[in-house]
Amino acid sequence: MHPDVIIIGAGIVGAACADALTTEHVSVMVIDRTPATGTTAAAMGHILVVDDDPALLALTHRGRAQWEARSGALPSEAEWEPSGTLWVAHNDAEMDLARDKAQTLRSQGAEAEVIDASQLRELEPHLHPRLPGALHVPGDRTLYPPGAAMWLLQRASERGAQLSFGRSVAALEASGVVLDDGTRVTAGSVVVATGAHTALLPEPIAAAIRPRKGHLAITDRYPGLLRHHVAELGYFASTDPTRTESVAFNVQPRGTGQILIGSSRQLDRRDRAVERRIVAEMFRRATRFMPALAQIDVLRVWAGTRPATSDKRPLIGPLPDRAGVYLALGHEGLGITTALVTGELIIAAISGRPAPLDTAPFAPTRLRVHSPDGDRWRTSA
Amino acid sequence: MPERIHLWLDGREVHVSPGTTVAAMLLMHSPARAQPLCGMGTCFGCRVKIDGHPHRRGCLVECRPGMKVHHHHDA
Amino acid sequence: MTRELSFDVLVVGAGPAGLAAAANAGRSGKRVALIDMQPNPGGQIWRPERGVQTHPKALALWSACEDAGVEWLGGTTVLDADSPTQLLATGTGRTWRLRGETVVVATGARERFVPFSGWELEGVVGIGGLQALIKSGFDPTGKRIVIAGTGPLPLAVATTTIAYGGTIVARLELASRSRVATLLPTLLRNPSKLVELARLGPWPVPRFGRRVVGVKRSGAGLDVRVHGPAGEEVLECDILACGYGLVPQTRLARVLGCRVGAEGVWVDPLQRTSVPSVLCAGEPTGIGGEPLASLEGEIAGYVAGGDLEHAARLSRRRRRARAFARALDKTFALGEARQPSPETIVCRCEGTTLAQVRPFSEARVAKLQTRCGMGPCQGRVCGPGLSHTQGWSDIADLRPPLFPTPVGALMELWSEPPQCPRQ
Repeated sequence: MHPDVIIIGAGIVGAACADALTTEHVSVMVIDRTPATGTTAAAMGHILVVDDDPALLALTHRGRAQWEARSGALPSEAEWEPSGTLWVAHNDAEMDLARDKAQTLRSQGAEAEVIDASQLRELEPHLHPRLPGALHVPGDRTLYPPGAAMWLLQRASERGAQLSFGRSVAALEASGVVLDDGTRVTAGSVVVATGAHTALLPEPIAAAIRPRKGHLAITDRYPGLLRHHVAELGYFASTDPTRTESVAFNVQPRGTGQILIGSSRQLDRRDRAVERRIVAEMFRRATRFMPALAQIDVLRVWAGTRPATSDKRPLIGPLPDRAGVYLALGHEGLGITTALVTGELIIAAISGRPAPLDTAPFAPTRLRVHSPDGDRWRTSA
Repeated sequence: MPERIHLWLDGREVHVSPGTTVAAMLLMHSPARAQPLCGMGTCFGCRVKIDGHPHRRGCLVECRPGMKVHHHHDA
Repeated sequence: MTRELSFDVLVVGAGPAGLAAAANAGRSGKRVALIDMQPNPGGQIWRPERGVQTHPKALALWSACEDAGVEWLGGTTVLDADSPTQLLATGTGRTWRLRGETVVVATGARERFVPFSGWELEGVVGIGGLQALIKSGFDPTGKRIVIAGTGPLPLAVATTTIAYGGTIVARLELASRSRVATLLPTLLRNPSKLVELARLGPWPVPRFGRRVVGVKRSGAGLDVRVHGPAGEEVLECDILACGYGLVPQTRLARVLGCRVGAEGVWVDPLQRTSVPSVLCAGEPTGIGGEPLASLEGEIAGYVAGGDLEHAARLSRRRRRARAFARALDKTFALGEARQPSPETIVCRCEGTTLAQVRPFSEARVAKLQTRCGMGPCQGRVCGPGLSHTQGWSDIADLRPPLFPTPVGALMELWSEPPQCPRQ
């Protein structure tokens, strides 16, 4: 009953931590009300490298490589597709940005090329004909996050992980957790992988993870209409931590021929109500880049919550002043891409072994600011 | 004998009586492909491409002269 | 551009309840719009036959609507609402924002399907589905047809099928003979029901206690495997019409914020829902059949027209009709769930099998993991079936739009509405 490590949260990050720890023969219990739901179920499933800062580039690059390494074993339910990403420019200034990004990505060993208007038209004939070109990142992938998360949980379970669904954790204790039915479970370590749900964390740290609401739409089946994950280069500006509300053109072809249409960002919004005005703006943006979308049927629209931090980096590592508690959350829109590498970093943190990359940029303590009145946690950029 | 409506199903000419919906036409002329279930617009089983527009519910559309109906090849 | 129209009363659904509501509200001098997804009024039970409306009640109500200047918006799909007084719709190639001080939800019912092995095959249709298809031009002449279901609907459909030249191989009733016999006293207390039965003319007597357990292709036809009191038998036919009762269509009411209970949308004796500007009439409030639906529509029409006195008077008749409906419900209840075989497809849109969904105890997790309920019908077909076989809550989670809608239309409809709308 009492495992070495309790993982709170059965989203893709918790599932990846369980997978990683059980590979190392650590006994694990995963606790959540339902598996593979929450932000995991609301997300797009874009496996991508980003160059926002060197630390995130390193993290996403390794994260993507870890998925690639497992792609042969992924079940069809994980819907692994070698889509690649086209980051489209909408003016010449953005073509310069594309060239800069290509260079940065290549310097870290990630394949990237800038393509011109005619090459873009060949790759995606339904985009607006006057778009000047794009940054093509052929190594990016797409998958179906709930399918991938369930696969990781099943693997962990086959290696002895206890999966405890139907109950949630009510409180963190010195050496374990208390469930909502009053049951106590003790463990040497606790990993908090609760995404945007921060109720279990001490107040100042909880405030450092801010919900950033996003909307997505899924269409009916239109095979061949879209082949790559396509987003505007302006997407990066839309993820700027200081912006309270933004939309960007961001579309993804699914294996069924359906298209996911995104994306929106609303800071400090935790509810999941679909806001029609935001969706309309998102669609207006999308049809400017891809006019053919206007004619195709939307089946449903939903909203989810990203766990965002002030420097866009996740919190991976020990929770200060609470021995044995580790954080694996705050991934904003990169939780699917970096789930597996997060698992690696959590093993390193718990076991004290060297990590595969520099962990300092992700250490929760980086957001702590010492002041004479006591410590504060940075909540905004 | 009432007048008949001529239309096209997957490139083949078919004839139906006035007032016939595309779903009813499918059940008569394409028994191996069409799968209307509810006949009233909720099951989406009779979806076809009508005059170039994909995913139209055949049960909500009456056959018109010269209409071009195609089965989807993705489902 | 979105066309904006304002009315006193919006009636959604042009079946018995909607037609009656529109006619009564219109007669009281209100400006009324009557909206329906189908190109012609009548709904399901009064669906025009081959383009011609023949039901006397439907014709009378329709001409009352015409006399009252009711605006007919046929072929129009309500897909969302800005507020309980403002509906968003598509139809006739454009988008509509429709305002009404009162909205009457009369969205009717759909068939309840319970999955069995082979029900995805061509030639397997719903019972209401068969009737709708015949009335909209399908010619059953020379077809051997098995009708399997429960309750009064199969009876009406069998007579339609025979009238149009189809051959009924068998009519199978799920309820046992003794169970159906318990209805007799109720029938005798409601002589109008006996008259209705007699009016249908000669109809094939059903074989009681029969349930379809599977169907497979056999040459040009179908072999239907039937389970009954004396074991299993196989029936040969060309078309199997199978469905087990009706499910209230409550999604629009839910989008408008109305409280929905186990039977359907909650209403008071004057058809008022939990939302002040919204009335609901007919099947969405609980399955009750045509006479009850048109009665509720009449009441809702009076209330929408401000004539509460007339409404209250009719409401007494409604109580008795409802009691009869509940007795029918009890008699033709589905009873114990029977699990179909594991390879049975449960979600026709996505081809999900029972074996795939079985490991999951919650509808939402099963949906995410197996795609069941994710297709274009948005769980309208598989939801009630899975609730029955798996004991799940409804698999649909009511995400907009109510029906598949083009990106461009949603873009227009969901943009901020212009200020100061003209009346």
